[in-house]
Amino acid sequence: MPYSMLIDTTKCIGCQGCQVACKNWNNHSADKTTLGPDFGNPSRMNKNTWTVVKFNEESGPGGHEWYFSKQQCMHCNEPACVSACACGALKKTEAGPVVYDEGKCIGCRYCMLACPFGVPTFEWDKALPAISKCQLCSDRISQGLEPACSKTCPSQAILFGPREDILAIAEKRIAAKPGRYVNHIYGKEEAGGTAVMYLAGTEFENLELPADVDKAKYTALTVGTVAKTPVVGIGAAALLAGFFFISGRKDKNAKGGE
Amino acid sequence: MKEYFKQNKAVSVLLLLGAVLVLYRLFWGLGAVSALSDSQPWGLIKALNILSGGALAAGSFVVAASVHIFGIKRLKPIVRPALLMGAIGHTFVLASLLYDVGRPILVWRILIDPNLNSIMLYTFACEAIYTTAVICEIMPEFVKSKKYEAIVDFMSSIKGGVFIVSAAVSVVYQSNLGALYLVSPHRISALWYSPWLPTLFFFSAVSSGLGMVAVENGIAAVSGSRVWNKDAMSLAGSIMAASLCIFLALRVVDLAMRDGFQAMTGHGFQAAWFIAEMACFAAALIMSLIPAVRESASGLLKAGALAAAGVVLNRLGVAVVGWENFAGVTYIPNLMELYASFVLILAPVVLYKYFSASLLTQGGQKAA
Repeated sequence: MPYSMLIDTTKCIGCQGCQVACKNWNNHSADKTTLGPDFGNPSRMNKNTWTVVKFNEESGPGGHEWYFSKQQCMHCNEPACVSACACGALKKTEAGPVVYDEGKCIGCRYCMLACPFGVPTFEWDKALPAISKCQLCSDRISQGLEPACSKTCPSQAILFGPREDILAIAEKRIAAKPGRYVNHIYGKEEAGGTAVMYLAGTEFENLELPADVDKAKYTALTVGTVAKTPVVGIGAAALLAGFFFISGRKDKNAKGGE
Repeated sequence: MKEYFKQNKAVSVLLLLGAVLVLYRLFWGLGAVSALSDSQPWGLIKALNILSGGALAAGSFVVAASVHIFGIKRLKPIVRPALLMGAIGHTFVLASLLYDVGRPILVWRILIDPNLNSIMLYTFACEAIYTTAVICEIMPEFVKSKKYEAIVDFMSSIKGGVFIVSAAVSVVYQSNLGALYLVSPHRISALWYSPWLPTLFFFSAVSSGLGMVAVENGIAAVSGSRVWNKDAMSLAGSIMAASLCIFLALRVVDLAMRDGFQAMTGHGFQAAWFIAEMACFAAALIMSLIPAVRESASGLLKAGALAAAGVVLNRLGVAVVGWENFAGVTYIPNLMELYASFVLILAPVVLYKYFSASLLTQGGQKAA
């Protein structure tokens, strides 16, 4: 039974405790603090930082708003990265997380191209680099625990549980306070549905969640070509063999006629 | 070989520095030798040495298939240089792939649990199969010493099968290089992304492959080392014109259908790059349609070079220029990356010059 995570950004207080808890559990080193245009530290995910809190500001007729949201792997139900990986290093588990097996990876970085959310990061400074991304604490889930980030969150902006329960909670919240939420659960259908879903009080683009992510599965873009590959290959071979024999017979007849 | 390096000291130094760079890359990682980042995981080497290289070396399968499968005997005189170029070219596409992949010494891990839904897998497999096949194809042509007679005889006996397999695999391979990018519509400008990428890549590869055959034969003729075979080359030029025609038609129709031209507004650099690409292809097409150009060495050389340039611009467009980065970071390759790309082009050119000097004039190629 697949698990899901709900990130209710209206409850996020921007404390970045989730970042710390994630690094703590996964033994990641700290990043050197760099100043940037926003409050985010670091400004995007990297090999040591599987989740970042994004700080986005919007000035509008209602005044100045500051939005906080947590960014990490969306753990898609039909992951583009899983279908892209030639080595089978990325796999979607039944419990929900999309997990990475370094032992199978050759470091080709095609998964980084395929992901519509730009999630997988790479160990650029290593001689034997691996891909690095959130594993939805699959090791904790298998022991009946919840992910480190959702356990830590002081305002309970991050919920974790079975997908049906999470969806029900999200829909109830929108129905109960329609003025607080945009009437959309981001991730319910985006990219074919993702395990990590968002509620927001503003347009999702303001939280840097791509708006142009198709409702369709990203794997649908490539599955047609993949299915055609053996057909095209074998069909081409058969056609070419046909031409080969025809031209071979033409040669033989020509030689025979001399 | 030693003689060659003694006589060409400058080239030898450049290649030696390249070897040092490769070692540095192997031990210090890709981040140390390139401007690649999480926002731009694939860059110059992928776009130029692998994608463009694969397309420019495509002449070997087109010419070999024309002669050995479709029985177009008129092209027979240009088979040997085309096969040699293809063999060396594709070997260096593989070398560039190994340079760019994260863990080249662990690349065998692709065999542990291969994902049959992955286009990358088929591309990699077809690239490896084709390179092996084209090396098998050139062996009977070039290996004459008695030592290898048994192997060469075996290669000759399975020649038909090898040509069929290599042509079929090439169709899949050239198309799949384009299919790799089908999965990223959100990242590539509408000027280059298309659901028809596999077909577009295939026809442009045929064009640039024949273009490079024309360039190679043209340079050899102009420099006097080989006679220009008007009969064979003008037919090759016609086939190039036909494939350019198909490619341009598909490209324009595809762009019009998807309303892709509007992606030029507000993106000045991409628009300029796109126009340059189209201009190269259009010029190549117009030139190769003129019989006088097709029949002259210098004329077809220029047309072929334009077709090749157009394909290089196209591949760079799909892989680098057409990308809109998440972090708003503009990717500019750094010096080491440029040098690595340069060496991965210099080495096959040097190898080709070396082998063609000894092998292509021996086989009576000097005569028409």
